Amino acid sequence: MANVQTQFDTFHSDKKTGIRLGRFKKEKQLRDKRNVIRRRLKANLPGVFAKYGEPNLVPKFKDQGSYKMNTGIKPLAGGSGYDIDQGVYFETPKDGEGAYSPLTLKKRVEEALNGLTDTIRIRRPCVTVFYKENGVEEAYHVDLAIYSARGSNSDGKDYLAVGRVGDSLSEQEWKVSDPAGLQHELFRRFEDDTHGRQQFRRIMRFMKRWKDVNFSSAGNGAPRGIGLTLNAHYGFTPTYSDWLNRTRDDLGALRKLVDDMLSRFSHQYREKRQEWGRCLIAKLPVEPVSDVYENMTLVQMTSFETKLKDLKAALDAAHEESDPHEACKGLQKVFGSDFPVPAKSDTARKAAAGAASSGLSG
Amino acid sequence: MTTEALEAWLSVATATGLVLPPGEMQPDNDGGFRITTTLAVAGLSVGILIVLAHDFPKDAPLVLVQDSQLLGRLPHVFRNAGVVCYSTSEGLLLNRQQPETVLTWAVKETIRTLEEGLGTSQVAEFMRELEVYWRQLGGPEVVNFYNPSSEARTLTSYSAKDNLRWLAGAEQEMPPRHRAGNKLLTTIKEKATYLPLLPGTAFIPPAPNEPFWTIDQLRELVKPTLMAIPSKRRRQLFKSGRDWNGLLVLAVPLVGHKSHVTLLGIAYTSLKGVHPLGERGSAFDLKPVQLLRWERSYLLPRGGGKMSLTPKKVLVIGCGAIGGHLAHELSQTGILYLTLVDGDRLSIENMHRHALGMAGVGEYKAIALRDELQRKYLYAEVTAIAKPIEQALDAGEIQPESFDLVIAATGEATLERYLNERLRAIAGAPPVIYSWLEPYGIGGHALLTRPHQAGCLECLYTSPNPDAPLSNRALFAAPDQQFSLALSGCGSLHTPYASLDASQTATLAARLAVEALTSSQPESPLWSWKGSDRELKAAGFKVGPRYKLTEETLRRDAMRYIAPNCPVCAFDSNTNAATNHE
Ligand SMILES: [Mg+2]
Ligand SMILES: [Zn+2]
Repeated sequence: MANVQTQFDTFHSDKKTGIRLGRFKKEKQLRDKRNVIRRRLKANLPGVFAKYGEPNLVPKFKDQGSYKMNTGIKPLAGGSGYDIDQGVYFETPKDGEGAYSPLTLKKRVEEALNGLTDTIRIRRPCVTVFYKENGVEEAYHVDLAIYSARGSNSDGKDYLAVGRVGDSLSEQEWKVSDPAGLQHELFRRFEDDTHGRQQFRRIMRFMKRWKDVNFSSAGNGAPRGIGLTLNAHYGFTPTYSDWLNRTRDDLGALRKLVDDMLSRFSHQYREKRQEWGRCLIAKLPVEPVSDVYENMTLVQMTSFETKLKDLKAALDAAHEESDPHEACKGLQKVFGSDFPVPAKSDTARKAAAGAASSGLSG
Repeated sequence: MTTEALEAWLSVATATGLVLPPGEMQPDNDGGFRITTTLAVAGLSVGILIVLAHDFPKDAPLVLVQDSQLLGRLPHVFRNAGVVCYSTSEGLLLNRQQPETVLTWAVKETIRTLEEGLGTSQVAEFMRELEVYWRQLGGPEVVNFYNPSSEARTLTSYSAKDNLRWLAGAEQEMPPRHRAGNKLLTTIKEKATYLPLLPGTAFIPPAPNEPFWTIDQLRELVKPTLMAIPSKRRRQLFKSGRDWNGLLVLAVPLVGHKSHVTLLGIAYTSLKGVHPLGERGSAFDLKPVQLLRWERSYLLPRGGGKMSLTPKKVLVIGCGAIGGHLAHELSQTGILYLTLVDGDRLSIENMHRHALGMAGVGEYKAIALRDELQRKYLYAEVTAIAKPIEQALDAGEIQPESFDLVIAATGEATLERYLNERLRAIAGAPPVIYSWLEPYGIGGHALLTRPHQAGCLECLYTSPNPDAPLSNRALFAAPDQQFSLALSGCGSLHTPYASLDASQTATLAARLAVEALTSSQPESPLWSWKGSDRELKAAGFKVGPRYKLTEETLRRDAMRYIAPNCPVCAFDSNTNAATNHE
């Protein structure tokens, strides 16, 4: 059994080649953009609402998503690019007198940001502001999730505005959503376990990078990042080669997680698509307690399972392999070229020392 | 308290009827005060004197009954000066900020005590404090080693030179130094009779100023008890003839306690040579005897020891800083049978951190420690083997399977790994605790291992990473650092740690030993205490990752050290116990 933790550490944390998206480096650019958007909305929204003869609504902002949870990864070249998720909360009820339709409220936001960049698009779950960089049209983006805040709703819940241009009223939806509650659920068990929490984040990042490398990003072909996060929530256990010293064993933790995910694939009824089929479910532990994979087709599910099996095979092979060079070559196939492969010479076994200082007395 | 404050208290106490007029208050020669007044107690007027020391209310006031007719006739009123024992001083918290409340409380408690003494519970009150009243009778002292039982029986009373007298049922009950083998003692044996009185037996003890019990009074008192003994047995116990002198031990059940008794000693002289509890004879001289409670069933629990531990046999390997403190701790918990193994002598450099101190310098540690323990703890039965453990094992001088527990604290990692393997291979081997400490006060450890159970010392040296340096994974300091200082050439290496660290580690190991011996610990945990890393870092050394875990995590991790690939325990354990990969 080769020790490949050094390579997992590099793959995760290396300043240049590591996949971890630092909250304070590359993301500074994103945070700057986010702040510009916040200011722009505060400045322009009163005018927009006035134009439509509507009472002014002052937005409140909350970070959310992988930025907030500190589980972000660097995007692959040619992928969808960096992003940051921003919650925008309005004190306006989701229904009843004077209620906005989800799309109308999103349009007000879009209008207030008009001209900020070349591309601002209303997507079903958000309003997205795209940024150009080095000639790449949509190099990175800020996703704005628009909410009807809990203080305005009789049930005390936040509702996300869902709907894009062209959706009929019935296709639009105020969808109950609780990102802060989700984050609390995900991290609750690590409240006094720093090592476990850190490994949980690393494992989530490895799975997201595996997804980026192995699935085309278009459409619902790939499992959503939040889905992999939930799979990890249910299937991850902190794993150490030496518990006493919390010596990381990320390969072991990944093997356990992937085994767990594969064991949960089963033939079941899929509510949203009203079909029976073999699938994996990633159920939100908070409202709306739905399956975040509900939009994946069975064909996509089959591909998901096949790729997971390939991942398992690669992880198991790395576990069995005694030469780190060979083990990492196999891991590179599933995690992509950023996964480092040590040179053969680096990995020759050092001769064991005949004696060391015991460090103890009696 | 000021004169004014006292006067104010007295006038309020008189006005409210707490005390009866006239009341008088006088300063005494020692800066305190004396208050003379009268209390109404169950229809009687009882004159009392309240004595306040100069530093009152540091201590409760002394209350004395002035009325000589009541003296010695009431429970809790003591003959010598009429002192009223209205409260126990132990565990008492006085309101120092409001001394007048202390005075009021003392007077109320005195009235309650006297009323109870005059009331129907008078005999019961005497019985409750029987031992105190008996002590006031004086008489010769005899040490009791007999563990009181519920059967009447014959004991032996021993007299040695220097008027040393003691009492026991069997040789084994006595501490080692009192046994026949001890050449320092030349003893004369006499017969003694132990008689546990029937529960519910109650009486007023003789007053110190009155004649002691007569034979008729004694016979009347023990009559119901004797009647409950079969006559055949009675004849055996109280045989006539050649019984001119002897000792009676009356065991009086303590009110409200199941197993506690008060022991009353009575020496008798019989002119006709018959037993006073037999039916014949009336010419006896009876005198009170004070029995000193030195028996183990009384002393060991009083010291916080556990009786269930007394028969346990523990082998201590290594009598250094940890071993020396540990042997003391074990003795103090009531573990009496210790075998100490160490082939080294105590060096002067280690004098300050060894439990023996200067007394052991130059001596074999095992022998000096044995002598110290037997001197300090009456019942300790310690065996010393002053040679290396492996030699003692090879020579068959130690049979590990005859012990209930082995504790190794040699500070020699290689030796202990060898012992771990060797001891586990012995059929019927007991659990073994390994204990060690780290330098600069950073911490110490104790590991309990059991044969045929996963988890052993070798697990700690079994690294998941074959390239890692050989080290004990439990250590708080980073591995492979050279801590020993050559203070005077390489012949005398010195590892910097203090006696406090050794004794804290010994305490940890002793607690684990008690849990293992009382079966309250069925597992094989690793326990660690974590100290400050300040000195270690100041000396230029590094801590390892385990040091950064919280104390709570360390506790939770107690079983996490087990290595599934341990070359020693993975194969000899018959349970598929917890592994690293849960
Ligand atoms: Mg996003
Ligand atoms: Zn082991």
